Amino acid sequence: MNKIFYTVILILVAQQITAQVPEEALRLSWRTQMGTARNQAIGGAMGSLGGDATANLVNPAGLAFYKTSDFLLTPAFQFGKGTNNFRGTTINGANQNNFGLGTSGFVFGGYGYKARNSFAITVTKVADFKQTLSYKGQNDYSSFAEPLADEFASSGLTIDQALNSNAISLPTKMALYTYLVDTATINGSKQVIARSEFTSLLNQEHLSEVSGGITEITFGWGNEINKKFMAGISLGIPIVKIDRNTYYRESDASGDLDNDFNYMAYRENFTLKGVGLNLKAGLIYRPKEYIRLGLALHSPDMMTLTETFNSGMAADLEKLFAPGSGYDSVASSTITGNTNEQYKYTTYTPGKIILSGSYVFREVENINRQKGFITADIEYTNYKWMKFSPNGEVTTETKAPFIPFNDAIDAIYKSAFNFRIGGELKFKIIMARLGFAYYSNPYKDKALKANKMNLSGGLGYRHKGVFVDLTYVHRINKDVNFPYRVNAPRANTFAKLKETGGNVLLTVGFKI
Amino acid sequence: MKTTILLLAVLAAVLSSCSTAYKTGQTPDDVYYSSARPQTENDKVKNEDKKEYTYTDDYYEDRYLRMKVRNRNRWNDLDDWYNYDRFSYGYNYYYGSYNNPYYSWNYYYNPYCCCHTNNIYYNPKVASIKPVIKPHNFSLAGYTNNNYNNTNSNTSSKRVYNNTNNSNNNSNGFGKTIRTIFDRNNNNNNSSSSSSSSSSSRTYTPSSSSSSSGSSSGSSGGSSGGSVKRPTRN
Repeated sequence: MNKIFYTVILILVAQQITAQVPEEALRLSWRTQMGTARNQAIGGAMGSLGGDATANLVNPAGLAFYKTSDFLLTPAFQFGKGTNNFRGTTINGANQNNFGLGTSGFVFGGYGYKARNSFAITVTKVADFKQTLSYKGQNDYSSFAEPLADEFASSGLTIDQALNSNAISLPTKMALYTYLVDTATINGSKQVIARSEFTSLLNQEHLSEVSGGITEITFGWGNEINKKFMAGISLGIPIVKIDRNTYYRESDASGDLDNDFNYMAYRENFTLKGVGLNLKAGLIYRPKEYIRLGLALHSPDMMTLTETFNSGMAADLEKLFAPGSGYDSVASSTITGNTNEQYKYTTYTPGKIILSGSYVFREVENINRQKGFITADIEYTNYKWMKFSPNGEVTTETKAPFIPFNDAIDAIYKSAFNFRIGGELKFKIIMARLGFAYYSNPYKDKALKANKMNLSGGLGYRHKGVFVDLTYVHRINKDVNFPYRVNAPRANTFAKLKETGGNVLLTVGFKI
Repeated sequence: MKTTILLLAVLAAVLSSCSTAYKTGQTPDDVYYSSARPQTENDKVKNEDKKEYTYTDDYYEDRYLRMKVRNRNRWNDLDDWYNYDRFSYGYNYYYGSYNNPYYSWNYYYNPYCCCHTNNIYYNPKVASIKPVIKPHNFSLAGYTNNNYNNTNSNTSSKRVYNNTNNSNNNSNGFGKTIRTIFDRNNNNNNSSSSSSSSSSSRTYTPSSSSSSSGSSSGSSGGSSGGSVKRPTRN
C-alpha cells in the first residue's frame, strides 16, 4: 500500500514541478567536435596531434607543440535540409543555413623556461542549434491530448481544482480550459475524455524552429615537461543561448463534421540562456619519434541557465456548444498570471574521456621533409551523466523537483563511444586532408536510431607567415523526435529524422 | 556597426603587427615541429630596451657601469652597495619594511592583508531558492515507455458511446452519439515490448466532489491559490 502511495506521489511530483526536459539536456550535450578548418578536415581528431588551436578544446597538452605564435580566424557557414518521416508520411524540410565560428583566437607558443610553455585564448561556436524541424502525418492511434487527459484523470481533482493546482501541468490546464479535455458520462459512468480521441483519424503536424548555440571562450596552457611528455589544462566558459518556437496542430481527418472536434493547436516559446564552466586536462606521450599518444579528460559543463517560457492552446470543438462557437483559446499567462514564466537551474553535460594516437611523418622543422600525418581519437561519454540541479544551495528539498528528470535521463540515455579519424598529406606549402567522424546513438532503446556522421576534406596553404585552410564537412545525421509521450502500456509515436548538410570553414591565420 | 568597425580596427592592428620574421624563409608548422620564433633586428632592439626595466643582475651591473662612467668619484659610495649590500637581507629589510610604500601600506592599512584577521568577512549564506515549477507536461512513465506505434492500422475497431451528460455541466452538446476509433485496448505495437491494456476508459473519480476553485485535495501537492475557472459555455 505504501509503495503504491509513494509511486502516486512520485508521479504527481514529476508532473507538477519540472525543470528542463531531458531532450534539451541532450541538445546541449550531444554535439560534434568543432575546431579550426584544418582540424575539421581531419574529422575533428585532436587528442594527440597538437600544434593546432583546436587542442585548446580537445587536449590542451597539444598546445605545448607550439613554439611559435598564431592569430587565426575561422568563419564558418552551415547549411542543411531534413527529410523526416512520421507514421509513413515523408516530408522534406526547408533549406536552412547559418553562419558560425570555428576556433579563432591567439596561441602564444615558446614562452618561459626553455620556451616550453604555450598559452591560448580561443573562441569557438562549439554547438549550433539552428534547425527547422517539421513533420506531419496521419494518426489513428493516439492524440496529443491523451496524456493530458490521463494526467487529469489520475489526479483525483475536479476540473476547477485542477486548474488551480500546482500538481497539474500547464498543457493539461489549458486543455481543460478549452474543453479539449473534459468529463462525460459514458455508458453510465463518469469518465475523463479528450475530444480529439473521438474521431477516426487525425492529421498531426509538428513544427519547431530552433536557433542559437553554445559559444565557448577557452583559456589554455600547455607545457612540454620533457621531450617525451606534454601536459596541458584549459578552462572553458560556454555561453548558451537557445530560442525554440514549437507549433503543434492536430485536426480531424475523418471528414465527420459532427464529432465535436475540428482541431487543436499548441504553441510554445522557449528561451534558454546561461553561462557555464568546464575544465579540460590532458597528457601527450611521445614514446619515440613519429608517435604521439594522448589522453584527455573533460569535466562536465556546469551551466547556470535561465529559462523563459510561454505557451498557448486553441481548440475548435465544432458544434459542441452550438449555436455558440466551438472555438476557444488560452494563453499560459491566463493560467499562471505571468506573461513569461522564468526558471533558473543548473545543468551538467556529461564529461568525456579521450584516447588518441597519431603518426606524424616527419617531426622535423624543415617543411620540405614534412610529409603528413594520420590521427585518430576514441571518445567515451555517458549521456546518463547529464544532470539537472537547483541553483544555489543544494538540499534534499531543492533537489527533489529535479529527481524525476534525472531519473528519466538515467532511463532513456546510455553511454557512447565516438570516433574521429583523419590525415593530411603535405607538399611543402600545400596540404590535402581527409577525415571521418562518427558519434554513436545516445538512446538506450534500440528502436530509436540516432547517430551523427561527418565526412570531411580540405586543402591548406602555408607560406610567408600566413596560413589558409578551407574545409568542407558533409553531415549525415539521424535522430528521433516525439511530438508527445503517452503513458505505458499505451504506445508512443515518434518521427524519424534525417538531416544532410554541410559545413564550410575557412581559417585564415598569421604567424605573429 | 560600431562593433564591426572596432573589430576590424583591432584586426587590422593585429595583422599589421605581424612580424616580418616569416615573410622570408619557411613558415613553421607547429603540428609537425617548430623551433622558437626567429628574432628580427627589431626584436633584438626591443629586448635590449626591456633590460632597462628588469631588475636582474645585468640591469644592476649595467646601471652601475653607466653611473661610474658619468662621474667616477661621485658614485664611489655606491660601490659597497652594488658589490655587497644589495644582496644582504639587512639592507633590504631596512628599506623594504619601513620605507617601501607597498610593504608598509599592505601591512598597516590594507584591509585585505592576511594579518588583519579581524577584517575577514564571511559571505552570507545564499538564500535557498524556491522550488521551480515549470509548465511542461512531464511524466516519467511516458519517457520510460518503450512501446511504439508508428503505423496506422486502418482496421481500428470502432466503439460507439452514447454520451448522455457532461458532468461539469458547462457544455450541453452531448446527448448525441459520438464515435471513437482510438481504441485504448489496441496497442498495435511494432516494438518487441508489446503489452496490452485493459484500461479502455479513464474513470473520473475526484477525491472531492466540490467543484469550487482554489482548493485542492490532499494528494495534489498543494494548490497554486489562484482562482482560474474555465469559461462557461452555453
